[in-house]
Amino acid sequence: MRDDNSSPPDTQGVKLDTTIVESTGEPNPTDLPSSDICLQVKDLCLHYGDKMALDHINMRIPRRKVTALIGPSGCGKSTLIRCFNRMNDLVDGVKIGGTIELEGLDIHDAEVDVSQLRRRVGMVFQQPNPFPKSVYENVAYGLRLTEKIPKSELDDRVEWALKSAALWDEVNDRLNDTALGLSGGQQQRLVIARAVAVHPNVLLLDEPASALDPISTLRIEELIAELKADYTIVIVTHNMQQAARVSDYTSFLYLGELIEFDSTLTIFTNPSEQQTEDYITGRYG
Amino acid sequence: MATSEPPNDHSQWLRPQRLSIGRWWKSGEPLIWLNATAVAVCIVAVLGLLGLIAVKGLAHFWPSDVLTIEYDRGFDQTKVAGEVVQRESISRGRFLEAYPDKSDIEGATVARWMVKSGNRRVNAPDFRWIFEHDILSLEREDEIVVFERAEWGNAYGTLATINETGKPAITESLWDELQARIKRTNQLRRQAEKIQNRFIERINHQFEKLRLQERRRALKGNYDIADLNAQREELNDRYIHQEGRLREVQSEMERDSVEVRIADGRITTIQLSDIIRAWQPNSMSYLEKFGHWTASMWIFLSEDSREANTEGGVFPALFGTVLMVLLMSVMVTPFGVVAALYLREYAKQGPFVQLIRIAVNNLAGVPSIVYGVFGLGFFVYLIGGSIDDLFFKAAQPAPTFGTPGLIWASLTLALLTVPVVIVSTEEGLTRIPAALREGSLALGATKAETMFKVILPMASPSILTGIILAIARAAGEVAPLMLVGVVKLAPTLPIDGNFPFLHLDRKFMHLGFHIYDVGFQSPNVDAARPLVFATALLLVVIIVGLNLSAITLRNRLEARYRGVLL
Amino acid sequence: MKHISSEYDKELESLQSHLTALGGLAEQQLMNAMKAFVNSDSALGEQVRETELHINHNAIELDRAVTNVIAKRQPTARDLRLIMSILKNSTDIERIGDESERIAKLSSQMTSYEPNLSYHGDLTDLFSRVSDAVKQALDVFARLDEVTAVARIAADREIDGYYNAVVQAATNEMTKNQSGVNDYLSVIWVARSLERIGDHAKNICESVVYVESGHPFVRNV
Repeated sequence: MRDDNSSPPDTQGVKLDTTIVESTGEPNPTDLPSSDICLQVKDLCLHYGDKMALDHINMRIPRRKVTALIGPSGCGKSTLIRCFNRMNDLVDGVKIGGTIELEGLDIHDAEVDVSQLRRRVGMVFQQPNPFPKSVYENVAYGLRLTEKIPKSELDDRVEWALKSAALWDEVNDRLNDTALGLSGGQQQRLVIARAVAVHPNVLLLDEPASALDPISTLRIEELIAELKADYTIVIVTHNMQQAARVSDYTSFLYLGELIEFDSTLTIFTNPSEQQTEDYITGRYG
Repeated sequence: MATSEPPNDHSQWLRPQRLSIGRWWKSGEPLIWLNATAVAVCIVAVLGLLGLIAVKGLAHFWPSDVLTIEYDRGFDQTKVAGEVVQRESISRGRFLEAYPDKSDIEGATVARWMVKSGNRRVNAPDFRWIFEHDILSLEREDEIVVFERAEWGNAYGTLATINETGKPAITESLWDELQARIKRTNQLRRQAEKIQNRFIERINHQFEKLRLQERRRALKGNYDIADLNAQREELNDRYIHQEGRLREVQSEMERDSVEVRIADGRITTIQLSDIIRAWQPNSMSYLEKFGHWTASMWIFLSEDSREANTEGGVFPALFGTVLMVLLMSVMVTPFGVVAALYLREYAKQGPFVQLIRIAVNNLAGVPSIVYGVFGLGFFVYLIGGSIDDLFFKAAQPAPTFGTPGLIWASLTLALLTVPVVIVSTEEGLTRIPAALREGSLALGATKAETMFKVILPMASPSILTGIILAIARAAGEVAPLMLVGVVKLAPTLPIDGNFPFLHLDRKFMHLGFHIYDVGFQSPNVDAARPLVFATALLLVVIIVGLNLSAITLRNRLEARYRGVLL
Repeated sequence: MKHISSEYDKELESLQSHLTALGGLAEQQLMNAMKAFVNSDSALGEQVRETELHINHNAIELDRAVTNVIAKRQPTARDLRLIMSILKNSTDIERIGDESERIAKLSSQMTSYEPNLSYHGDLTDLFSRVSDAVKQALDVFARLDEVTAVARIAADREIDGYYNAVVQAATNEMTKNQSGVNDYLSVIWVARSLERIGDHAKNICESVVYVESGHPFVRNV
């Protein structure tokens, strides 16, 4: 900002490459080419009975990026993320309008097998929810569901998944111990390993670190940064700093509406909408 | 400012010096005392009940001393040998009502003893009350022998001679000789039982099969039974052969007899085939008595009953109870679990399901005899009758399944206890966090896969709890069973060596009904009373044992899921 | 609009008022320095040099306070921009203080000379513009008045014009009067300092634009 050079700007001289620091941050997702989009949400409306929970959401979630959903409690961010693997189907009295396209295929299409969809769109929940089985069985659970895999291959895939979730080194000597003996952070990474084991395209993380201590939280965040190379990640979080740290894109939802969706840096330094600004700076809504 | 306020006045924080009832009441302490008292009363009541049953039941097997009592019967003096079963005092007034002429008796109360004197056949009654003031002399003879007989109860007396085929054979070292010969007769008895149960029974079974076959042919209009007759002939030969063997063994058993001098000096003869055991309680050491005590209990557990259930063991009732409870568990578990799964996991929660739930809860409160009536009408007559009409025409008019039997008793009790299993399983299902279901579904598992791989294993402790409660309820239930399958004396066990080995149509014996029958329907109440306690103790032990094992299993399972269940 | 945490509001307000107070100190410093230079009052000059220590100290304290707020509140969006601007502006104000001290230092070297009134007048003009610009900049930042800020940024060219005039006049005098070269150089130095103070004031105004719009101020070419 210091402006020592008081000479007028029209001074002629050698044209220098003055760019020292690259302008960081992703472009606005609406400017991305369709080929970079993994999930495309069009006019998504969701009603619980008569109550509208999501109001004409339009969103383009880019492939192999981390997209964070933030907003106050009850804004619909969890509802929205549960639309992506059709977990809302399990709730009585849910009506869904609009479309969600996963790599161009409408997930509500009559021909889509929900089980297969859920294998392509893995999900991790707020509370670590390992099954009360061994570490190994937890990871193998999803693998065993569809195919009969020989033991040696199963071993390999379990190891691979645990390595992907940065848990292998901590648990390789107690694969047959109950998963409930792991710490909260390890359990959450185990759950991520379990989801990753079936090779999904998308990973949905519903407040994955809100039940964890700060160090475990950082581990999960580090893991998200690693997984981003292979998976499209959508994360719901209450922790705005976490959204700022881990995500490439951030969307702000309020009362079931998508208020703003932009690159995370834009949202956190210079949001366009007053509501977004008030929310992220911690002001009265 | 500091000077204007009293420095550090803590008085309002401190406990007030003065006690007041109101404050004491508000402190909640009375409530704690009240609760503690209630719990204490419950514990005392339960322990008291168990203690009474245990003491009375276990004491029955203890070989108590036999006293030789000389006493005044009023019209004469007599001597009797027997065990003192009970001592009590009655008030003088009550005594004088019965014996108005005996006003010379002193004291406010009168003591009397109940003496089990046995020898029912020659010196009835076998239980008699003797007033303490009538007793002239008491003696404890070492040689006195107690004979446990297959019929007519115990005999008490001293050995005179041992006879062989009616003639006196042994006069020396009678006691050892007697024991050896009792052992011999008992071996022969076992042999006879084996022939009876294993061979003759089977032949009878085959006779019955032939009869049914003949009848089946007759129903089809086929009266050609030459081959059946040939078989029958052959069976008959075999029967005659076995019967001959049996008779041989029996006559061998008849060989020996013993002459016994009873307390009043008379001599009576007892066939050795009649004697099951003999012992000399007055000359037994403490250790020997203990050995006798355990042997008696084993006999009680392992032998059939005799003498209208007032003697011998309870094995058939024990067997019937356990088998019935097991069958009931096998039936009630899938029923209850499936119903609970449907109600909790599949049915759309709403007023209708709520109504069903209320109905199920109320079912648990229906008096059990109502289930018995329902079981008799629906299971026995309707379903059993239909099964007979469809599959057992040949046996008619004798019913096969259309009569009370093991299967119907188990089914009726299953019906009686299914609400318990449903409620308990449902409770377990609600304790499984939704996060686990979602976790499984989110991995692409279907609802059924989630159910089998995650939900059911985790609900297993609760299901077990339900089964425990069901068993506890069923094992103690008597009333409905009297209508749908229990009898006081079943000729055969529901499991034997004849195909199909488990005979669901048979009637069976049950400890609960056994208690009722022995205690209240028996011709010889005094002889039966200790058995009531012993049987009750056994029933309680079985129920407690079943419960404990299931609770252990449940706890072990629950430990696996600790921290996950809500 | 207030934060949910009123403590946070108070902290931000306190940063702002500290900055304003620091600015007031620097403004006073500039006045005194100029007075000392014009009147060749070395005592006043000495006082300016002492006050400078206070300014430096206060600027350090303000930086520390800003650091604390960042660590505690992890500010975002406008809050973040405001706090970053306060941090930078404290540097600008501190530099204003530095430049004032430099002017005050020159006053002791000017004791022997009575400068020509004509460019002395130019210097006074330049000073009044610059002190005006500083006062306005601090005021604009205190009120976060983007419109006035943009106007003030444009007005900086005016100061450049006055500066050029003073330098021109001083250069002319130096060619005429060889013996006064040192004094005229001092005049040029003072003018140079004033011009820099103007730039700092402009930076403060630009920060207002950044805080309010979210974009760094880009000069229209």
